[in-house]
Amino acid sequence: MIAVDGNLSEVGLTSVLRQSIQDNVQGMGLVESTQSFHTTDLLHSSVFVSTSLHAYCIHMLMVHSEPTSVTKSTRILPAIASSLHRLQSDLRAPVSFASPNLLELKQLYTHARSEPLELTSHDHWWKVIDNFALGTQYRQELELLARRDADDHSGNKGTLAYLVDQGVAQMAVHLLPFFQHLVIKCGEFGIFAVFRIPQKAAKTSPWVNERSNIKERHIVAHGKDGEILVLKHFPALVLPPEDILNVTGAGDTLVGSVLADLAQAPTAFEDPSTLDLLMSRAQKVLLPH
Amino acid sequence: MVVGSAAIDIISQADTSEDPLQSKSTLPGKVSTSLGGVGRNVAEAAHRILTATSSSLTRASVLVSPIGKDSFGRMLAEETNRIGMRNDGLTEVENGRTAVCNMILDRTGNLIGGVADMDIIQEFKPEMVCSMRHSY
Repeated sequence: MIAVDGNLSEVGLTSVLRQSIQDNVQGMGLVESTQSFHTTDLLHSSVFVSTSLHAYCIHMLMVHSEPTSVTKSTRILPAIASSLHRLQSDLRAPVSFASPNLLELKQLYTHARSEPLELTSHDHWWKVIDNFALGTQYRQELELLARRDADDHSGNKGTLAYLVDQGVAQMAVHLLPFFQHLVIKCGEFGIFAVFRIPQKAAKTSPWVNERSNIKERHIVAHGKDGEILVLKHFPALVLPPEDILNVTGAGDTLVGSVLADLAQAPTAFEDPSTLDLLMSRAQKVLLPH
Repeated sequence: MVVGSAAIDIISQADTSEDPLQSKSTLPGKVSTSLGGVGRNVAEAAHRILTATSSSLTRASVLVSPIGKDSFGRMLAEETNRIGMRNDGLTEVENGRTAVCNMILDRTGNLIGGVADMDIIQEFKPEMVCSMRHSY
């Protein structure tokens, strides 16, 4: 599993992505037989194991809160653009995971659809979005989710209205052709995970039996070709203000936890219970202990 | 494998209420260093979690990052090793300065200025990843 810091230059990011795609293609033959593995195998063959279970296992780490770097979080986009022509009929996203905060999500979305990249005009984008087949039911479910409280314990944080009002859900879904899983860091509003489970994995995934459940804070949509789309909100852990020492690096630590869990269980997102555990651990790792 | 930035953070905090950025002179206070860089922070967090689960995973998390052939580079390599993380992904480059983020805080701890020297990240070469993968 390769995680890439958004600080790299465009050239750097492109080369890592290209190399990983190339390796994935080369590793195809070996990949199917290594579905189950022990941790020692992980150390030797993680490249092949992880690329079998995700298209191109690259977790993008986004730079956060640097006032001068408006465009840093978008440096991955040219790399994605140059990889799209290699995907052909494979509808999986070139980047497996990305963990932007709300500002970075907006920057990514804006840059993806604007000139000169115009990634949302690409064939690949249309095919993926079309396959989602999101209609009235999805929109209604999203409206209902937006009315949910931001967290279940303190009523004074407001609701999840920002998912609709600020277009967060829409932007995230529209980036899914490029990022297979988005773990959106919403600060005190918790984490909003938006991700795709490809058709093959979907057949055996427990998500296939799940329906949207507003109380559980998730929306599940079943796409035309059997792909599953999930949007799930995880409220932030409640901490008394006096216990908050320092938020510097909190995003990095959270991402480190997600990575560690994914390295050991690359399909954690494909099961609601392992996903919940992964998120809960990622949030708890920030607590003083 | 985490590919990204590794840096040294140097934090200067003046003891007095005078503004260190206006004084045209040095003021007494505390200067401390810590390891920083988004990629490095993530690699360390992943390392701590992986090693808490199993002692066979001490080399599972590797940070691939360019460093300079300078004191800060040596400091990064040594301090990384000191916390039990492998440092063989820290690759020295010619003519590069190890990334340093120099921050100035006021007495209450707010960031009021500083200089971030991150140029070295442009020196990242894909070969650094390739050679790591063979030994991974």
